[in-house]
Amino acid sequence: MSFSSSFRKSSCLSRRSRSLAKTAALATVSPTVNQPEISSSSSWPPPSPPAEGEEEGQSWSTMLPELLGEIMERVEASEDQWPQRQNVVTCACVCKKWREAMREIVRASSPGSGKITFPSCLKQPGPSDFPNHCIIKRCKKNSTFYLFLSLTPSFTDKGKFLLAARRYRHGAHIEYIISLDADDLSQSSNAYVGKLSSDFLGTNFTIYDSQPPHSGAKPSSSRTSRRFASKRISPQVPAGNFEVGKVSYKFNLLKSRGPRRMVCSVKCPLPEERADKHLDDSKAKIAEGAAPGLAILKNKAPRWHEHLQCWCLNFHGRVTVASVKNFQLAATVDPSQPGGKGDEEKVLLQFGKVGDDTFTMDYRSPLSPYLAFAICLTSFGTKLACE
Amino acid sequence: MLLSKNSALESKDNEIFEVEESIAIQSELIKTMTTMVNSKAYVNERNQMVPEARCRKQANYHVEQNNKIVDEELSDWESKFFEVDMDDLHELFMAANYLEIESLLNGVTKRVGDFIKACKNVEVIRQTFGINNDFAAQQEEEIRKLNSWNHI
Repeated sequence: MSFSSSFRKSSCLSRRSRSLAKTAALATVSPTVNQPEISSSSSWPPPSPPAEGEEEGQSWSTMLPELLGEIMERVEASEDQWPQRQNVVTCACVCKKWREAMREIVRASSPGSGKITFPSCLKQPGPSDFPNHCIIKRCKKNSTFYLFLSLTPSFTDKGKFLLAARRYRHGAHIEYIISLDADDLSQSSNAYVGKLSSDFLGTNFTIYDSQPPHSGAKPSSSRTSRRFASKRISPQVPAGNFEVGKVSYKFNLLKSRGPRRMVCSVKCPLPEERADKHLDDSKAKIAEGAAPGLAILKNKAPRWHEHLQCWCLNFHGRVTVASVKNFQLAATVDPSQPGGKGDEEKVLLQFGKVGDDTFTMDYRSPLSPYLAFAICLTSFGTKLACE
Repeated sequence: MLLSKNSALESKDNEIFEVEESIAIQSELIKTMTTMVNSKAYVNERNQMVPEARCRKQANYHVEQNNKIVDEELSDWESKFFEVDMDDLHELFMAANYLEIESLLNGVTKRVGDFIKACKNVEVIRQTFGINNDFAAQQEEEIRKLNSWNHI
């Protein structure tokens, strides 16, 4: 049976018009003649009947992509949250057809939802309407930080593992290597996704991405990136590190006893941008000249609480332990908003302590989970403290 | 039961089924055909025989049961109806898609989705559905990375 030549993508025609087309074609067929394709007034070629004894097309493995899409769509819709979302990823690992079908479904489903499905989603913008809740766990023993997507409101439940980062010192220079694999945190690893580097005092940080943030981006040439030979997965993707953000800390000069000031400028991913170029085949087009917009974020100034004698920010219950590391970032420049103007009342990234080694991280569009994590790491790295 | 017109449907292997019209038109394809060719008595069609019989059975049951029984019994009946092997499920899926019977298609895709969820890993899915791993060596590395990240 060769349905493959007969069916068009169901996205092009509604079910009703498919019926009409099939009917028009079939009405002209004589019942005694077994002709596979008869031209008719319809532009839809009629479906050909299975040839006698032919097995091809009669099994799951030879199913048409659009029919497979029907099944993938239902799986994706029903496995909306982690841990069930594992099944969506598993489907994408079965074979080429299943991978393509599932990635297409995920791509098309709920734009603006900031749903995390594949690792590539970690470099896509978060949700537009409400922040995603995450937990960061610190392990002082091995200088490692783990990022999880919260699955319950409890601060003691970890959730879905997203990224890990390990702090390394190179002389006067400190780096955090960020990876998809909690057990393999090196720049030469296949799971390497980027890094954060800082000066000695931790006042200026640079965020790097292992993948180009937009087409035509050039990798930075820094000493460390030339020191290793990275394993290239795809020859189309240049090796190296691409600068995607800067974070700086300053003492609050106006109120000398106040909390430090943070300024971040980051290249936020555009919603349609697909950062996971590794898994795209060579036929996929990369958006020309689509440089992601630069966002400028500043921390919201806490208010001095005379009665409690401390600086206070309203973390809405998501931060429960006072710490100089806690912050809320809002945008002064936001490329995702009309005119690029940021809403200084809208908190795009919130970070704070809830336990000895447990912190919450809440982020939303235009920040991606990767950028949010890197910015939060700077809070651990800076040595500027309140006086 | 009200008397209603019957449609005669011929399947690819020339077997003729007499089906109540109200049931026959649950298939969008047949509904369109009867509208267009204006021939309620005899409609030409090609299809596989076995799924045809199953479709008719199911459609028939649906109409009767909608009138009589509660949802619980219907869903029990449906679970039993879909307890078939992968090959039969495949035929049901292809027939439901060809005949464009929404309710049957929903039932089959749900069942297939349940199968997928029950397979806890990629290898089991491949075995259940008879699918070969056709990733290139270069892609295998990425898939392995994806698989190892895919945990809680």
